Order: sequence, then C-alpha cells, then structure tokens
Amino acid sequence: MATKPLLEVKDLKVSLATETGTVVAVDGVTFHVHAGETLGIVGESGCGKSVTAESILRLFDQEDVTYSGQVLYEGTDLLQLSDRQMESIRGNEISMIFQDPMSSLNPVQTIGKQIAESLKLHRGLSGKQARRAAVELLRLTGIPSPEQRVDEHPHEISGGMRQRVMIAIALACKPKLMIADEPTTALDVTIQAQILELIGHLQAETGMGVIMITHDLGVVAEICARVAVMYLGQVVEEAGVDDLFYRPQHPYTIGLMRSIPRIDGERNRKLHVIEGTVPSLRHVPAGCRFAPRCKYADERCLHREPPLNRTADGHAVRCWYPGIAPVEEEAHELGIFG
Amino acid sequence: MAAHSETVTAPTALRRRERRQLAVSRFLANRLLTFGAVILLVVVLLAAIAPVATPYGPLQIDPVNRLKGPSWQHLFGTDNFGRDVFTRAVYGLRISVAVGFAVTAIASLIGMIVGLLSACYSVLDAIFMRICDGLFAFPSILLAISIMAALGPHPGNVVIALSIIFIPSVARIIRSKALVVRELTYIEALHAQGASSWRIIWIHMAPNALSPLIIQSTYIFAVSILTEASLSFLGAGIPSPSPSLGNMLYDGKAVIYNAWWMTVFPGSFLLLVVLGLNLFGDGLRDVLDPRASRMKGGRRRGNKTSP
Repeated sequence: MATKPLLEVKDLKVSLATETGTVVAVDGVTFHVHAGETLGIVGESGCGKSVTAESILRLFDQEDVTYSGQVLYEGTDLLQLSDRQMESIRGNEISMIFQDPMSSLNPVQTIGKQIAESLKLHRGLSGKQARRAAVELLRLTGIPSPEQRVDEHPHEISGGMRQRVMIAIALACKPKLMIADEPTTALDVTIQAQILELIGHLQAETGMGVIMITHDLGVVAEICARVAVMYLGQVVEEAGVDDLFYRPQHPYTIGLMRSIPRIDGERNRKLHVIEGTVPSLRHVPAGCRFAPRCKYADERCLHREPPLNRTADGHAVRCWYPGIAPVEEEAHELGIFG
Repeated sequence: MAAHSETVTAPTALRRRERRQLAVSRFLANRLLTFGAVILLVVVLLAAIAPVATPYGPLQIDPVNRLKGPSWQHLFGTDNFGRDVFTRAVYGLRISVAVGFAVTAIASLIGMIVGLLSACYSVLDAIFMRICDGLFAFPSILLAISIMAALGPHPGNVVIALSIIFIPSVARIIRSKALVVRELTYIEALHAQGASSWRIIWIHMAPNALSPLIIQSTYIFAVSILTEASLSFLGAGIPSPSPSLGNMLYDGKAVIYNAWWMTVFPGSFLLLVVLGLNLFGDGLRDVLDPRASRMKGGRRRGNKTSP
C-alpha cells in the first residue's frame, strides 16, 4: 500500500445546474484506487455514485457543471486538463462501462466498428487492423464465433452479449483504470455472475484498477477489495471489504446490510428497512446527513456534521457514534460470503 | 477447422440473403409504395429521355399550326405559338423534377447540418432557431417571390429560393430527433471512449437522427415542385420562353375556353408527379414505421365498411 495510488479523488465536489437551480450532487468525496485493485462504491439510488464516476471522466456538459477538489490520475489533476487532453484519457487510460447494455451501443453500426472506434481514435489503427483487433477482443470477452459477430448489429445479439461487447470496447486500448457503473444491474443473475467473473479475470490478466459502482452488496462482497459507502453525495464509510462486512460502523452501512433478505432466514420474518427515503439534494439536512433517518441520532447529530474519521487500520467512518447500531447478525451469517 | 468455419458461415450468409429478400418483399407488399414508385419511375424516365421522346424542340415555333387540338402529329395539341404541348410538358416536367430534386438535396443537407448543430450547441441553437422562426413567419410563396425578386429570374435562383424555404422545417425535424438521440447512453458511452464531439455529431448522431427526414424528403420534393409551378405561374419562377409546368398553365389560362389542352395536359402532369411522390411517401412511412401504418390501416378499413 506504500505505492502511489493510480487514482486519487480528493475532496471532489460536483455542482450540477438543473432547470430548477443548482444542486451539489457530490460533496467532498475522497477515495483512491491502486493498480490491480477493485474499489466498490455502494449506495442507494441518488446518492451520487454515478455522478462521481462520470465526474472522473468529466462526462457532463461543461455548461451544466462545476467541479472542485482534485481527481489525480497518476499524479495529474484531470479536472485541470484541456478538453483535448481529456479526450486522449477517455477510453485510452480510463474507460467506462455503463449500466444498460441495451442502449449503450449505437444501433446503426456493427459491433466490430464500435469496438474499432477507440482503437482508431487512440492507437491510429487502420480499418483492417482495427477489425482484426476487434475480433480478438470479442474472443477475449468470450463471445462465440467472433468472426461472424463482428459484422452484426446490436439488435442481433442478447443483453449479456452486448455487455460483453461493452467490456470489449472498454478494454480495447488496455486502460489502466476501468469504471464499471452498475454493469450487471440490467442483466439476469446467471449472466451477472459470468460478467463479474469476466471482469475479475480480465483485471487479473491486465492489472488494471477497477471502480465498481453498484447497489448490490453481493457484487461487492464477491469482487471488491475495498468499499466506499456513499450517502447523499458523501462517503459515509470506507474500509476493506472484510472489515466492512464484519465490523460495519456507520448506522447506514449496518442498515444496508440488514436489509438483505436471508436465504436461510425465517420465511415470515419482515425484511429490515431503513425508514424514510433519501432526502432531496435541495434540502440537505443541517447536521449529519443520515440523522433524520437514523434511530440513534441525538441533538449533536442533528446540528453538527461529523467529519470522516480514519482509524489506524484504514477504516473511515463519518459518524459521531461509530458502531452504535447493533450488528444483529454476523455478516457471514447473512450468506454474503457464502 | 475449415469445415467448422464453413458451417458457421453458411447460415449467416443465408440469413443475410433472406433478410434482403424479406425487405424487398415487404416493400413490394405495400401497394401504395409500389404504385407511387411506378408513377415516379415513369415520370423520371420521361423527363430523362425528353430530347428523344419527341421530334419537336420545346421552343420550336410553327406559326401555321397554332392552337391545334390533340392529333397524331401533336399528341397534346399545340399552343398559341404553334409549339408542341407534349414536348413542352415533358421538358417542363424535366425542370420540375430537377428543381424538386435539387431543392430536396440542398434543403436536407443544410437543414441536417443546422439541426444537428443546434441540438448540440446551445448558442448556435438560439441563433439558428430564431432565424428559422423568422423564416416560418412568412407565407412561403410570398417569401419565395421576394427572394426571386431580389435574385432575378433564373432556374438556379428558384432552387435557392425554395431551399431557403424548406431548410427551417428540415432543421427543426432533425433538431428534435437529435435532442432525443443526444441523451441516449451510447452517445455518452462514445464520449467516455474519447471520441470528439465533432466525430460523435457527424458519424454517430447524424445517421441516428436521419430517419424522420427520409419520409419528410418525399414531401419536400412534392411541395417544392408545386411551389415552383406556382412561382412560374405567377411569373416569378422559370422565365419564359423556357417551358415549365407552371408557366405553361399561365399561358393556357388566357385561352382556356378555346384550347383546353394547353391547361389540362401540363396540369395532369403536375398532378401525376405530385400524386406519385405522395403515394410513395405514404407507402414509405407505412413500411418504415409499422406503428403508424397499423393505425392508418385500421382507419382505412373502418371507412370501407361504412356506406
């Protein structure tokens, strides 16, 4: 861990201009990813995990967004680069996979051409060379008879196959960092496992860093080394995956874990729910952002925002009373590590 | 290995041929489309072979045979200068089709560029769309006449005037479709791949935003032929003595009670080409957008059953 991280996000703040005013979708997020490491970013819908991911690549319209803080990729701040420099990073050094493989491919182009796109952009390959490379990439991602598939259009292949094509596109230029924004959410469970396995396998082969954005703790437990839990635009807890699952500290993290249904649990037992909903980003609570939904919140929580405290073993929590909520069942009993 | 690749290739090749046949039969199955296409084909062919289709020239005067009715020498009769009406109508058709085609091509191309740029850059959007609003505010014929008045009577200027009229509607159609396409994930994915905005707009967004234009272009074709005829009829289009369906109608108007053939034949040519284009456009829409066709089919069937 002494080596310099591949990507270091420091105090990232993202304000988005919307029709009804500006919202701060990400507020002071800090995390890092080492080469060869998988970082999971977990949270409910609207907690800012996708915004964080898209901000790393600066994918928002320039007119609509203001960034502050730093996104250090191998020491250079991506937020300071020119648009042209940024284009040479995207897809080349850092690539991204999106949630919905059904709409992530251009419907009027063959999949071969779409894989060849970034090779032509960044590597300057000719059409023929790029096509050959596309076939190889399809083979690498486990698509049968790639020579034929390469000339097909996205509507001719299945969802799982399309996500493989997306991964082939993301891998085309051998990026050092891959951001996967809920890559398995739109797929059915068996395909999910295959895709995760594929990502893990390719990561081991290429040594790239992976940021896995998901709301599925099962996915996190399966492939991530470290996890950052996000709530309302902030990281509320960050730890190694075992540490987080066995010794969760933040009441929100504990709530998330308890809301996973247990396969060996009582059938009639009610599922645990975290009361309330994520507040709107327009009405961010004054103190701790989770306080209005937290059973253990007191006066201090409601008025003063807790800092992200990091302990010696690297476990960071943003809570005045870390560990206050009972971890009713041990994580391994939850079947997460099954 | 060779055997393996053969077994894989064969069905794919077969499938591709089948698919092409399927597309062709789908187009042929639509009667509107086929009928419109046949009319258009005949008209375009007639316009193309105009010089060999008749023994007369369009400007050839025969003072002895003025205002003669249809006969074997002059199928559509002769006009007040003794010129063969059939010859002039065919040459007029030629100009109409040429003008219609040029206007459709120019308006589509420029309209597409304007529409895509306005969908992607908000500053350009504000400028272009206000100009379009301004152009929309004029009645199109009036606008065309004033542009012609400014540029002078010349077939090329007719094309320019009509293009200016149709660019705003193309631009709006493309813009609205491009605004939808722009927000789709694959465009964002392309940004994440490192493609420049320029490349994304012209290589990826353009083909996806084009579909509504295909049908619209048949409409532009038809309306620009009609507008050209109106302009010529009003004396602001193709200048005499060059034949055009519009100025033939104007010439015929003066003698309509004595020489009906001078009005009827150019008029039917005009009707034929516009009908052909409209049928073709309707058929095309039915084939390309199955949802619209089902709705329309239902209505048509409903009409048939009512007395």
